Amino acid sequence: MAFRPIATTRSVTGMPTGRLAIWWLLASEIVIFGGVLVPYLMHRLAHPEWANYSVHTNIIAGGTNTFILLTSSLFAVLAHAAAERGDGKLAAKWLIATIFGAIAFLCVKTVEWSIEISHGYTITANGFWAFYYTAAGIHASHVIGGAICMGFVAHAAWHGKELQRVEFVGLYWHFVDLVWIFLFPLLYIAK
Amino acid sequence: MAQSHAHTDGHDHDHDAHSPRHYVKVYVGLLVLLAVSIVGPEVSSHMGAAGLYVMLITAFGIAFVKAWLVIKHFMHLPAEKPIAGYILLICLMFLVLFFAGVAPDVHNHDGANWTNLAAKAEIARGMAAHEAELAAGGEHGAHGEHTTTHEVPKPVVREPAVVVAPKKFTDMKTDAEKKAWLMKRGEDVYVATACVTCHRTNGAGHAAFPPLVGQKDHMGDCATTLGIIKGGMSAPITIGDTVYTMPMPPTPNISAEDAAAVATYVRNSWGNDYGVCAP
Repeated sequence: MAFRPIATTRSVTGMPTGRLAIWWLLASEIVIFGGVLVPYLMHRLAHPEWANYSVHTNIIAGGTNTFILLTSSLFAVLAHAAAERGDGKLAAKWLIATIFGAIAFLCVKTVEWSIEISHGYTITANGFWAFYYTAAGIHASHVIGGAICMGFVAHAAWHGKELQRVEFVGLYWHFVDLVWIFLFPLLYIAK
Repeated sequence: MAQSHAHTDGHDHDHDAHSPRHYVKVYVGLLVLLAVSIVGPEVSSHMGAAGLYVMLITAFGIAFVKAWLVIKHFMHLPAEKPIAGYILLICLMFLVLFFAGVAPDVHNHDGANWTNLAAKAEIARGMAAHEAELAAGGEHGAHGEHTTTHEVPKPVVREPAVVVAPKKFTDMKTDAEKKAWLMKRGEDVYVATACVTCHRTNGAGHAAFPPLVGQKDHMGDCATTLGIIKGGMSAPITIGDTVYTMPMPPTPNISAEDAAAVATYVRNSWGNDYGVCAP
């Protein structure tokens, strides 16, 4: 290839600059998600009545989605392993499997939210539900964004191009998984 | 298989950590932890006081273990150049700073010179709505059994600082029940409205606002107290060496029940024992 972006060819820190950029992105995501979860925690501790609201969250839906995200994280890291061996086609297949994980996650979320909204638990019902929909909504938008990015990366990887990006998008996906690992006990388990 | 790894980006940690078999092992571990984090809190709800710790450890302790497994084995952060960890750590520290700076004001609903009326009203409203829900049949009881109509209680729509009492005053039969109702309702209204701002939760007042404790002379009989609550007070009063001139605003639209409840509450709290005021 005649042209390679600077981000993949130059490295000042000892790691590919593209990967450094992903770590920066994830660091900024810590503040974004933390900005919702930390105030949620503060309010949760100060509002005993929220325990009466959180019993209405669906632990089966939440547990299923945790399972789906953990599984898709495995697919993402298997794609990374395939890319490391230079097997672009296999990496693309694992990434597509990861995308199906994202779609499954969003389907469960859609059913879950539809039931809750139809029962009157809307984002304006009270503080708990406001945090519930905001935190899980920001997370779901990251799932959508990650799935779209993985589509592009999978397409390139299938043609044996930009295999380093398989790891980058995987790192992002693991972070989305990490956020859910904390959202799950905060919103679903703590009653 | 592990020997065939082609290192494209300068990773220098051992090959086993990148083998598919290793990833599957970690994944199975994560699933086991997930199962424990779901079952643990369910079991803990039948364990009484110790259950809280079981819930906290199985729900949140395991979340940290799961997170670390993902960070270590899927994201390979420990094998990454240290700068990546430092960047993440800096942002985490911003979060801790944010929590430390803001949490005291959110956790506490009473400060030296302020009271979070909205939060108090919200708690009172939420608790009362929950009690009303339980009293109404409690479809969401311990067994989660729905009635045949499948009617799910709707969450109460947010209202201005008006508190929903679980039962009506007219349902109270004995004098003791009536007094208990008025005291509870009175406290709810007292903390949810402007009363508490000046007279404080302990009735001691502050600065230009007079105390309500031990002021039998100023409170007089029920009619006098009710008159002050509804009509406010503009004449200066003297307590000890202090002359209070700050006028108290009227509350003309308060219902007869609420006025009686507040009157009963202030006349029988903090050591006061000046009798019940019936609506």
